[in-house]
Parts: sequence; structure tokens; C-alpha cells
Amino acid sequence: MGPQPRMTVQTLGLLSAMLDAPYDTWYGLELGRVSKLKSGTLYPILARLERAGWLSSSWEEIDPATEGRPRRRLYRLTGAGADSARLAVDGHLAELNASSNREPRWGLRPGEQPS
Amino acid sequence: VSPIGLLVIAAGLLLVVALSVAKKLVVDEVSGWLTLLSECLIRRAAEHLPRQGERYAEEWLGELAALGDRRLSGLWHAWSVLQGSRSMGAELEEAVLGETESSEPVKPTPKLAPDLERIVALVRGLVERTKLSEFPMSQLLAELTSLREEDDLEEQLQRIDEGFAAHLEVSRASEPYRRWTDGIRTGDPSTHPAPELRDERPREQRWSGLSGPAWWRRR
Repeated sequence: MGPQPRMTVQTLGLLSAMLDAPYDTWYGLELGRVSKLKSGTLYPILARLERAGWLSSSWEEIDPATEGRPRRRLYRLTGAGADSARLAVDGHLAELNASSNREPRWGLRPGEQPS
Repeated sequence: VSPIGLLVIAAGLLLVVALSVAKKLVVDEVSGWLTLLSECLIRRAAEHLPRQGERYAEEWLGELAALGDRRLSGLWHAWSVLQGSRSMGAELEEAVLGETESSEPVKPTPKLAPDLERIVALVRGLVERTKLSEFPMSQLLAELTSLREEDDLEEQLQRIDEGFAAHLEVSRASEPYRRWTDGIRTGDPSTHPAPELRDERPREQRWSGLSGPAWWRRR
């Protein structure tokens, strides 16, 4: 694993979007859509996460001449990256809950009312 | 229907056909131009990334193609990439190459002075031959600071090395050392040479911190 990536709200948003389907591969435009990040923010974050070993990327395995379109760059969470991302997102949510001084929403059982 | 009416209907039909053909031609033409414009914007954006330009141009063109016939969305995507590319340039350089690296060439590690290299080799050799706990660091420092410029360095270093070898030999043959190493093997803490560092608890309790998490030890 490389150096720890800088953890910004945008990075956490992207990671949490990817954690919804941790085994999927995504291309940049899709990631921009689900995380609502502009390309100027998205690609540096992807590069940083890749350098830290949280993401891996590879070119789509197609023949551009046969398909009639260029290859896409596909990103996916690595195993260690998914664990680290989960920890980072959970840690951030826990901090938010602690600062908001209320019961965590996910701590309630189905049908239970917050006190 | 009068002949004039028929003419009007025929002219109307011709006009509809002509308009639909013209519309298709115009739409195709505009679509082609929009695609071309989007690709130009993306190539322009890639120019802002001197080292990564080619790679990101291919990536963004692939994404543009993923939008298919949605030419206006493609144009918007290309425009936003171009907008972001100015700030992205420095950010990507930093993200890909790391904070410590920059466009400046990396300075080579300064080479040690030849004398210092020999001293480092001596210390390294001593460290490899001795255990950390028995390494007489203060004695070594005293020896090194007493090196004299007028004498041959090689001879002085050899003397230090031999002195340490003799010291270790005597030390290891001594009764306290033998008792201590036996104690380490049998787990008897009372043999530790420094009484204040002795841990009198049974061995399994002393090392519990290294035996894994609590749930594992409870098994």
C-alpha cells in the first residue's frame, strides 16, 4: 500500500459510492455521476486513491477497431482498499454522529423509534 | 379536386419529403460537428496534463463514446473536462508522482566520505554480530571519538573491532550471561540482569500482548 490518501468529503463521497458495489468496475463518467463530482475533482482523487493502492485501474479489454469505440479506463476497489475505505467512511460517520450528539440512525432496529 | 388543388397537394408532399430529408442531413451534420467539437475539447483538455495527457485523452474519449448518441451530453462532458483540466494538471501530477516528487530532477543521495564509509562498515559489522541488549553503545562512541587523524584509520578500526570481539567473548562466557540466556530459553524471569526490568509473572501472562487479540486468547 502506498501513502495514505488525503481524506476529504469528496473522497469519502466517492468511496462510499463505490462501496455500494465493492466488486464492480466503474469508469470515470459513471463515478462522476454517482458521486456527483466534477471531473476536475474526480480524476485527481482517483489518481490519489490508485497511488495509495486503494483502487486499481485497467483498460477495458476490447479491440477498439472491432467495437468501433475507444477503450474505457475501468476502476475498482482493491481488497485492502475496500477495507480501508470502509474504515474511513465508518470513522467519518461515527465522528459526525458524535458531533451531532444523537443516536446513530443505523443503530436502530427495524421498527424501533429513536428516543 | 381541381388540377390546381392536385398541384398544391403534390407540392406540399414534395415539400414535406424535402424537409424531412433536409432535416436528417442537418441533424447528421450537426451531430458530426458536435462529436468533433467534443473530441477537440477533450484533446485540448489533455494538453493541460503534460505527462499524463495521452492516457487521459484516451480515457475521456472512451467515456465520451459511452454516451453514444447523446451528443449534447457529450459536449457538456467534454466542456466540463476542459474546465476542470486547468486545475487538474497540478493536482494529477501531485497525485500520480507523489508529494515528495516534482518536476525537478531528484538529487542523488550524497556519497559518504571514504573514511566515514569505513567507520559505518565497522559499526554495521558490530551490530550484526551482537545482540541489541548487549551492544555497548557508549563504549563504541568513546572509541570512535578517540580516533586520531595522524594514525592509520584502518589499523585503529581493526583495533576497535578486535577489542569488541574480545569483550563479547568474555562477556558471553561469564556466569551472569549464561544464566540469563538459559533463563530466556526456560522463561525464567529471575535471571534478568537488570532487577528493575524483571517481570515476575508467569511466561504466558508476560507475553499475552503478543499472543493475538483477546477473543483469540479466550478460545
